Amino acid sequence: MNLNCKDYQHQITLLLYNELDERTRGELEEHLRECGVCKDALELERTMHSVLAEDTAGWDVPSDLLLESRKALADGLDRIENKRSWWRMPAFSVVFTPMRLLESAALITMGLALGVYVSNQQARVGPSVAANPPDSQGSVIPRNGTISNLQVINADPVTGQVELAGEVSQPLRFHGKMEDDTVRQLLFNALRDASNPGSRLKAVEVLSQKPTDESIEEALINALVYDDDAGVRMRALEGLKTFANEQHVQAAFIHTLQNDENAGIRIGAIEALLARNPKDPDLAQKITEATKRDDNPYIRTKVLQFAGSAK
Amino acid sequence: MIRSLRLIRHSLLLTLGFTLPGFAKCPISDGATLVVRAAVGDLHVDTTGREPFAEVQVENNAVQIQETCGKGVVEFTSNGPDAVRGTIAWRIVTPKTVNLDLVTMAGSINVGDVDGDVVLRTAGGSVTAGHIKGRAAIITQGGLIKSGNIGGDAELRSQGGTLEVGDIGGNAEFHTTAGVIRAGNIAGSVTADAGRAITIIKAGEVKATTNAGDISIGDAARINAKSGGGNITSRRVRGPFQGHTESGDIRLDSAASWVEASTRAGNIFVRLVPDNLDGDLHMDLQAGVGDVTVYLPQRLRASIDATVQRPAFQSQQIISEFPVVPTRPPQGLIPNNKFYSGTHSESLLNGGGNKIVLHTALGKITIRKN
Repeated sequence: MNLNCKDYQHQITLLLYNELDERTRGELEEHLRECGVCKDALELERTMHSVLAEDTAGWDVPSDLLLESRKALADGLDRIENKRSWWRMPAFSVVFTPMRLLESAALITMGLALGVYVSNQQARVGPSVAANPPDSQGSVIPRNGTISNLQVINADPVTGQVELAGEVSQPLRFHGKMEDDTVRQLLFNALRDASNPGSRLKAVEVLSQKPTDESIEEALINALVYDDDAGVRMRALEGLKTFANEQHVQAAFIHTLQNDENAGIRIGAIEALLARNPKDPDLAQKITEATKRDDNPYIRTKVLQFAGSAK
Repeated sequence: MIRSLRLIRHSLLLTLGFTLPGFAKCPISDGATLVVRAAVGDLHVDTTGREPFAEVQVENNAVQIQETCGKGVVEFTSNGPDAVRGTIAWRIVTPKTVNLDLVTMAGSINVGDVDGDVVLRTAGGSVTAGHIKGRAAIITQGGLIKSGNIGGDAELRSQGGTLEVGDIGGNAEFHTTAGVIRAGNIAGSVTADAGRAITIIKAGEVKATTNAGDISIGDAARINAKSGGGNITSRRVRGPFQGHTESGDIRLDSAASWVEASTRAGNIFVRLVPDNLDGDLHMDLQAGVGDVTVYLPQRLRASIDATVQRPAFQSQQIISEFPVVPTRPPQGLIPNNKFYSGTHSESLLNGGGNKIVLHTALGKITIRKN
């Protein structure tokens, strides 16, 4: 829908009362960035609001003014509807759209302005008017949740409004199948938990049960090559053993042969490569190259045996 | 006549053994030690030999064997190359009433039941053994170690493999940097150091450490356990318990003495079931993120100090079946309300005594009667 500046300026009032939906607000903000006229209109409206807000301190507005205003607005609208002649029926109303828009915007503006004034006044009147009852706030924080890093961002002694910020954490228990993306994502997260080798090990153990998926294989290779903990690397190697005939797994095992400081893991890698690739001259050459500086006699022997049998 | 025939047969075999490159044989008596030093190859030891001889055969002409037939020690050494192409298998036959001292620089070792002591070492490859009546030292740089029962002390070491052993009559020492440890009933004390999980069915004193993985000890006289990440559990600990895990639960279903346990993230559960209520029964249970639950005997004399550092948003923090001694503020000063509940409590059981400190940074504490 193409809107002109007039349409956007109608929306400015609603913007200031935070009454626009996400999409309309985005469109308006984008227009305001480009249009100086509408930007000026926004500033003007803002100024008017701040002036009015300052002046309200001395006003004695009855607490039921908002209700009264809304009722009057509804009655007024009813009267207009009743007086509506046949040519103003919906089928023809498109002809008069600008008029109706103007009329509606004026009424909404009036109602909202009154509403804001009244609610501001009510908040100042006494402590009995709580901005939000505790239970409604509590519902967004789980009962067993724990709040940390709580900060008071803003506290207005006059209105009683308090703005708080912090982090809520709560225990997580999640059931699902390995095929479930969330389950996998959680396991991959556990695998990246640098501080906890125990959870990494458990994640590898679970992922090794069904390593048929490419993303799982990648995660296991990652653990084999990069994990600091020898137990985690060993378990990842055990999970990948059956795929030692696949090229990327072979590459990971050769990397392990060349770089892993733990002889047990290197031995596991060479045994897996030999078992799954009994006669592969290219692989034999790669392994020979990767292990030429290995000081473990078992590995050297196995490589020689493999090279011999591959010829 | 029969004796003469046997003599002739053995002489022939010995002559044959000296002439063939891959064959050797020596007489061996009960209690003697059979030593094998193999530069390369898998060692298969058949201990069902009925004759008082130790016999070695290697199915590879590149390997030559030298034997030294002593009275107390029989030794077979290969003078072959350090590494050769193709598989090399050493087939060794001996009676089981001997001690074994076997080393291969590259290969696996497989041994049947042995009545004496065994030392089995390899630079890489798995080691499997049957029941060993004497002591055992089994070491590999990488690979599985699997053994039946061991009558005496046991030392099992592998860099990467799993250690699996049956019952042990003496003390035990287990080390594997990247593997799992599984052991049966151990009469003596145990030191277990693993890269992954440790499981011991029963033991005397246990010192267990793992970089990552669970520690599970069925029954022990005393436990000192530490895990880099994993649960620590025991069905019954008859003496003191000390345990720490970086992440995981600690659970003692029956603790007979004092307990000091901590976890950075996980729950702690301890049921105190002492044989002697007059002994040292203090407790110090510290959880970072997690709940602490204790079951205490009703006749226990104790001073309980429970603290929840960062309570949950809206739930009871400390639940106790024992009467709580009011601490600050004095009773009545702060009336009960739905937004405030105490996060620290103190209780005196039977006039006070053993200090019981229960602490969680984030979680709840439950104190129940046995």
